[in-house]
Amino acid sequence: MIRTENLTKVFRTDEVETSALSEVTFEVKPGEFVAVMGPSGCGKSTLLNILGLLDNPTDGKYFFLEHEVSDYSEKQRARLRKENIGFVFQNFNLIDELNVYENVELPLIYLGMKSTERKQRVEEVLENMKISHRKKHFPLQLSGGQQQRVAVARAVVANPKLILADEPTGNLDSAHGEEVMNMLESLNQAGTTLIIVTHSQRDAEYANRVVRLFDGQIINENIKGKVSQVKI
Amino acid sequence: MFKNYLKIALRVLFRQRTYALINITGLTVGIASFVLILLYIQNELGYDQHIPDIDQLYRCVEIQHAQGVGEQHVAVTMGPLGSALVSDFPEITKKVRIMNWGRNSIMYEGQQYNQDDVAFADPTIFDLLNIRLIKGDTATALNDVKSVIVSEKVAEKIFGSVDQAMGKMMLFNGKEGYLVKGVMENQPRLSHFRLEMLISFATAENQYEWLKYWGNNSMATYIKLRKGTDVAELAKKFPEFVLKYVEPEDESWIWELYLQPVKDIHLRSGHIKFQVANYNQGNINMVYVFGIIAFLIILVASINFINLAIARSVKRAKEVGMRKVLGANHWNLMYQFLGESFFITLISIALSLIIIELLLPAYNRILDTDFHVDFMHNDIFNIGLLLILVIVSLLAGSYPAFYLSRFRPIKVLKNAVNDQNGSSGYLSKGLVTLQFVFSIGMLFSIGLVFSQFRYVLNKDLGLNYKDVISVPLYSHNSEEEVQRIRNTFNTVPGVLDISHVSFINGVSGSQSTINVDDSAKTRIACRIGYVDYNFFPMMDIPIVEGRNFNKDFALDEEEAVILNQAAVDFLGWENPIGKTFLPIMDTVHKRRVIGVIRDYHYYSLHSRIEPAAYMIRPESAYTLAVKLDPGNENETVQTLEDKWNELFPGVPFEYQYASDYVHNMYRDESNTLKLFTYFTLLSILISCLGLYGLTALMTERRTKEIGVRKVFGGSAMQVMVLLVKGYLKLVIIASIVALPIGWYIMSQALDEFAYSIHMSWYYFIIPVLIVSIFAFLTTAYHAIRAANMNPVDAIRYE
Repeated sequence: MIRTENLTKVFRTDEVETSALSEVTFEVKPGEFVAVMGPSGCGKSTLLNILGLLDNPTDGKYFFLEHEVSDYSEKQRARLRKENIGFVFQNFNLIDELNVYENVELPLIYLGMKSTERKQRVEEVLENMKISHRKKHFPLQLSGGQQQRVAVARAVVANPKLILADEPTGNLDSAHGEEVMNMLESLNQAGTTLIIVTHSQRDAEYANRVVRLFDGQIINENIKGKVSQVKI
Repeated sequence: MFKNYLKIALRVLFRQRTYALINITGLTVGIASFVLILLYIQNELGYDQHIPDIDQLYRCVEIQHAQGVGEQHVAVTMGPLGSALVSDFPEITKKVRIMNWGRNSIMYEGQQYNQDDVAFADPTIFDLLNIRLIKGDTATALNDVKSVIVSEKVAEKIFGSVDQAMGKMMLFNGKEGYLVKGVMENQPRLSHFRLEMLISFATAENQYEWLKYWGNNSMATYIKLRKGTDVAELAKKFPEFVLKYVEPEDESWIWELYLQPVKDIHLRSGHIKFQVANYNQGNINMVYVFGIIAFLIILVASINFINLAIARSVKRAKEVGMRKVLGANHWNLMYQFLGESFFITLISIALSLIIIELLLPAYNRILDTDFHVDFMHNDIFNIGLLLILVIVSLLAGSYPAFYLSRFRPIKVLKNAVNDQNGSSGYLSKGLVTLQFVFSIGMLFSIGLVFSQFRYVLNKDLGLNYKDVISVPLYSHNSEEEVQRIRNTFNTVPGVLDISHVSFINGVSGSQSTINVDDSAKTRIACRIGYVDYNFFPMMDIPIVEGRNFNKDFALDEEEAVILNQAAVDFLGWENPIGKTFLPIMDTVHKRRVIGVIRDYHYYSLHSRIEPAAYMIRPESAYTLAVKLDPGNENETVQTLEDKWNELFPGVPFEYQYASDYVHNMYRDESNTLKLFTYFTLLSILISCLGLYGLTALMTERRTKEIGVRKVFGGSAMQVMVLLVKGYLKLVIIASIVALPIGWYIMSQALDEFAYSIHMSWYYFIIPVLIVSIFAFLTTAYHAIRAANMNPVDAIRYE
């Protein structure tokens, strides 16, 4: 599903060059649940942004669904993105002016789906996420856990092949965090590929593979039950 | 998708009420002003459009080189001119002559009426100027001597109805019978001429022998050209034409002829004197000025919109970023934001229409118009509104739409959007500066225009109109009658003095060339004034040389003349007293100069004081000037009216305060000034509104910075200074741009007055101070709030 070869990202300002990712090579197969861990500033979010086609790498190759996309324009990336990827953020990033239903509906609108079809899909997903009783509420009227459930619903509503979650439980208490992780796990079990970036060991345990990043490089990969040391 | 945008637009409006309010208020006021100004401009440009073939119609204008006056353009022409033009030039197909007969007293069935706007006209007037008859036949109505056509309004006033008017006989000036041979439609409001009664030109020709000869300019001549005529080519033949008819040895009559398009008469006749007809004369420059103001007001309101949208973009950025992450493309977002501005503009237009409806009565009163909001018949209005909708939506919405939709989602989601600097920061500052430029420029102009106006109204005109009323007499009032009125009025307590003059300002409307009795045949073009023994002392006009007319000198009435200084200066006489003129006008005797008066302004300050010559001639003077004792003027006027009614039962008593005569000369300007002031203040108000919103947002965005500064020891004062300084800098930049431009434009405008104020330094400083204070107050308000915030709250922001 995803393959990177020597993926490198360098941030340049006038005076400073900061390397956020350095020759990262890794692969995610369809149906996998991968957790990316590491200390702050190690490049986790940068990696997730590139994998999510929100950003381009400075160097290296990135194959998404067998397409080499590292040179894609924003327009090309946007098309791939809206058809294939769902996002969940630590701070939810719901649109305050839209209610729960409308937030979840949004990706379908941009996909150009008909309104009757949209309604059916949104209702279904809200039901699955156990948030349909709140569908007329606005984000600011919801608890953090509820907001993140809405965000997950929005991420899955278009049936993406890949869901990327950036610290999905970072702003939640442990009970709500667990609820969200269970939800993501069941999505994975239903066949969706999942990559999460997290600080939390507990969240990482839901994944069947944990990738550890340090200073922009993968230092080890931990497949459930076995540890593989990557040479630095 | 559209529903989604609409929903978002509504909710954004509701959530960010303050900004929505600022935007909508600004746009509403802006659009309302714009539409009102547009109505005014449409009105000004709409004059005479009811005349068919107006593109082929021209008015003859003469350029004269009059001794003592210099070059002057006059719209009065000579009797034979029209016919000569038609016979000499095949390109000229028809002519019509119109000669004003001024105010007349008309008697019908024992009742007397005072009628203005009476004129002699050729029968071609029906065809050329689109005068339509309700009753009567255009082929015959104006053919016979003493036949008259009345307007519908006059028919109703005098005869009770249109039907009863036909075939009736009226007495003009107490003696001559005139037969009503037609009733014409009332003239459209937007017509440069006002005609209530038309008398056949044959009547005038029958009455005044001199109309048949070249040499006396007393009527307007309009001509119609054959379609496709090259006017410039035609004009080349005029010098030869003039020479053909003017006796070459008579140098004073050398004049040039040109054709003024009739469609230009209303707005482009400022330089033309002696216009037989130019009712409500307009000024093309005012149309330009108002056009510019209309455009600026809309621009200022749109700038608010753009600035507030940019300033709010940080708040909207998250939404934009998320929409992009979820698949929105550039165009989706463009549509969304343009849709929002379209929506806000639509609301503003709806509100502005309500405001316009409410304001129209007052507006109509000021402008003496009858505008109304008319969707059914005014296509220009509808198209205008549609254009406003589209243009303002695009103008106000396109940059925000473009700017916001360009956001990189990843930056937005990282909270990395910072548009304090960079292109949008400069744009925002640039736009605010532009608003300051407008505000300063307009305040500067208002200041000067106001001062000029005050100067004009208060300038010592050189004669004292205070407590003087003018009572019009009728041409048929005999000398004995006038004496009787004077004697009666003199008995009224509160009457200080009475003078019998041609007009309240001492001169009659005409200008004549008079001849000095010398071998060089010196000539001078003069205003002629008919006065009496009292006029100069009563009006406090000093005699600077010689003496006033005096009853002790038996020959004063027949043989004396008094000049003004301008006349003496032109003639270059060191000792004017005793110099003689050949008989003036149609008098018999030579006239000897017995005195010189100090120059005074008999007309408005637009025109220079021209040479004037004064004689005693009661038979040509139709005004009684009455000086009242200040204090109980109303009572005195009432008594005068009672006395008048005793003398002339059934004849209306009319009077006007001389001070009102002065005010009326500037009435148009005064109204325009009012409008100019209102609209300027509105545009400044809109600017301030925008600035208020903008500073609120800017301060909010800098909350964290303020908090940090305070944590590290910054005082509230320092923080405030920091915030205010930025805007005051923009005011200074704006002043540097606005004042020179304002100075240039206003110098040109003041040049229109023959006498104008001097631009002192304070005219430049005060607008800058006012705008600085406004900018200071709006920013300081937010700055103080921010600076006094608990620093922890500030840091927690975001």
